[in-house]
Amino acid sequence: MVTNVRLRTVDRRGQLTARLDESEQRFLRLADAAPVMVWVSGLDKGCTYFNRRWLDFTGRSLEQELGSGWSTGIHRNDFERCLEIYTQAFDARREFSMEYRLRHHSGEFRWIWDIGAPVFGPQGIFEGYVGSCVDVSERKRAEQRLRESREMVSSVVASLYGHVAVLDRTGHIIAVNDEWLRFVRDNGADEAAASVGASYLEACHKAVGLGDESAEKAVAAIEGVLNGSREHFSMDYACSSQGVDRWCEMIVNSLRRPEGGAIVSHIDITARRRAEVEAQRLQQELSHLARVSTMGELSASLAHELNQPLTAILTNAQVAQRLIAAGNPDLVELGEILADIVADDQRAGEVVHRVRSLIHKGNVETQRLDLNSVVWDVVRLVRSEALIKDVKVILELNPLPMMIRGDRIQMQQVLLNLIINGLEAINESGSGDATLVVRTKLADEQWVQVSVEDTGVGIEDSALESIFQPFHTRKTKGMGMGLSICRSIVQAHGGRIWAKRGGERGAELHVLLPVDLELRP
Amino acid sequence: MSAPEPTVYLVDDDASVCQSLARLMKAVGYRARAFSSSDEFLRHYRDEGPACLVLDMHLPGMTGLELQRTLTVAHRSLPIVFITGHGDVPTSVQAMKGGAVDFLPKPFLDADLLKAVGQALDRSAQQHATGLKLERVRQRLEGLTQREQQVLAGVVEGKLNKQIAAELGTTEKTVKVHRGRVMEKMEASSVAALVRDVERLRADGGAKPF
Repeated sequence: MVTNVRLRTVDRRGQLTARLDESEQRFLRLADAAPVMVWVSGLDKGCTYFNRRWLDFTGRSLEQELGSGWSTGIHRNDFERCLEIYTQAFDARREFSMEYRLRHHSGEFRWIWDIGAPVFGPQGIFEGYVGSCVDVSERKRAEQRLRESREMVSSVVASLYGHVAVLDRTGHIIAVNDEWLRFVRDNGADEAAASVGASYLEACHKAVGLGDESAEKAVAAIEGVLNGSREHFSMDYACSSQGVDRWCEMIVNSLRRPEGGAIVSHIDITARRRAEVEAQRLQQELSHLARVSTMGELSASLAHELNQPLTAILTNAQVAQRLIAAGNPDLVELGEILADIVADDQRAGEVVHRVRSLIHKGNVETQRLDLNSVVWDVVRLVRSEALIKDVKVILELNPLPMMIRGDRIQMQQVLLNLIINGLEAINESGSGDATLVVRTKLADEQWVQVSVEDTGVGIEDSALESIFQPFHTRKTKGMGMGLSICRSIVQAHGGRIWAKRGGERGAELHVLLPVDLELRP
Repeated sequence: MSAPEPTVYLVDDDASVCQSLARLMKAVGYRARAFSSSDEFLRHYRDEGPACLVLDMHLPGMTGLELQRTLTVAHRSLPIVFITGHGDVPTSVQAMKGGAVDFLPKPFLDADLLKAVGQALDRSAQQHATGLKLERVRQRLEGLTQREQQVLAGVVEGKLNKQIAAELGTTEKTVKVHRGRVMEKMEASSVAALVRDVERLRADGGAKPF
């Protein structure tokens, strides 16, 4: 028996020159060939044997390792603990296992997994311990890496700003972050139905059943990502949380691993939404202010525009009074006079209406518009301004309607701004040929273009872009917001605005807007 | 000689304003002729007796002030009443300096316009009367012989008969005879009246007596 042989060897410790019998030799051969490191200790707890693998590992001789020589190779931070485990197990004659760092012959410490077991003789007499050790550094490192990577993943998920859940390919939740749970609790939703193990897809299906439209989209998106037909999905949706109306964004991303799955996150974007709404409100306020201020600039010419019908009305009325006072008036003539008075009154009313609609603080109303008719609206408004400034306005409008989708007032504002700027530039230049051309044309199948070209002072090359910046102005009066507002309006309509130097002189302002493709004019 | 019917010319690009003003002028017994632009007016205007122009300041093409200048340059003294829907001080000053009778911001009362038009027509009538008188002076002047005209030129310049005789290479006595003829033909009551008539004709610019 190997055990006997070995123990006899142990008994003869210190007498290495003693004769070894055949079975002892066999044990030593076996021990040396074993794919593990082996040690043997005697009744005094000191080591009496180390196999070849051990010695090869530590790079030390058997003599150096025997007794407690081996302890010099143990990492000092592990030594006390290991000694404790060994001593306690030894005294109780129990098996033990422990991990410690052992110095490799390269000088590097390697992690060793050591299992020790007591050895008993044929009569059950305790004879010592035998231990076998495996280098587990690689496994340790892998474990460490795995642990680190898991920790990183879970801390990343936990730290995510949104409410995050990870789904497996069947739509069941396999991980959530704290925010997710808090969100579920805050909304008074069924916590169990939204925790790890529950089917999120099923919960969404239920919501669809309750008529939740955004849940329907969510289901389609999650299923799409899970079955691989799409990588990513996001949508904004309105929801109510703790009695407060909120906006959230839902994002679904595919989980890139062989088993598939998806990551669902919900982010509260209420603050962003509010800021957007507020920004939009401010923008509208600003453009309204700009319109009012433009009307202020136009007040003289608007007065002129109103004075014409008022003059005709007053004169006609006084003529009628004279005819009546003279006695036996011509009723036909009186009828004509009254008809003219009515027509002129309507004309004055239209001027007032046009001004009021531009000054009116209304919401943006998107509708189908003929850009040509917008040009006409504005040209009627600035006709007197052009007359006073002695500028000839030429319209070169596309004969067909130029349909776009947009807000009439905002479009009028853009054109009004461009035309007034043009008139002012011409007025400033004081040149003889005072002409302003308003042109509309189809740029191609998808874009309509409206251009305002003047013979004014022109724009420096360096200012072609900066004129669209807020507070850029050449005029002594005015906010310098006109073109900046024009640009935001045009961009909000999906279009683009730019400036160019005119052919010989002056400036050209061009606006491109997407054609409304609906066929009916 | 009977005075021709006064004509009020109206120029305003607003058809409605033109129409109402024409009605007003007819209602008070004037002849009214309305035009929508300066060019149209210039094409049709003929100086045919007392007339005035009611002119809008802001017209497409030739503006009111430009028309005023054009008429002045052409020595057509047609009194102008300006009307405007957009009155500013510099333009009104310019208009008045250019000899306008009045400058009325729209809308105005008929009485105010008619008062201004009345003044303008009075001025025109006076100009016409003066014009007729000058025309007669001109005709008489043309009736003088060359020698008589030479003598008249000397008289107007305040020269003595002796000087005139010396210049013309004739005798003082002959000059005296010519001078008597001139006074007679020119229907002048005195040398002073004769000189005044000739000076007026010169100032009118339209005629060149010498």
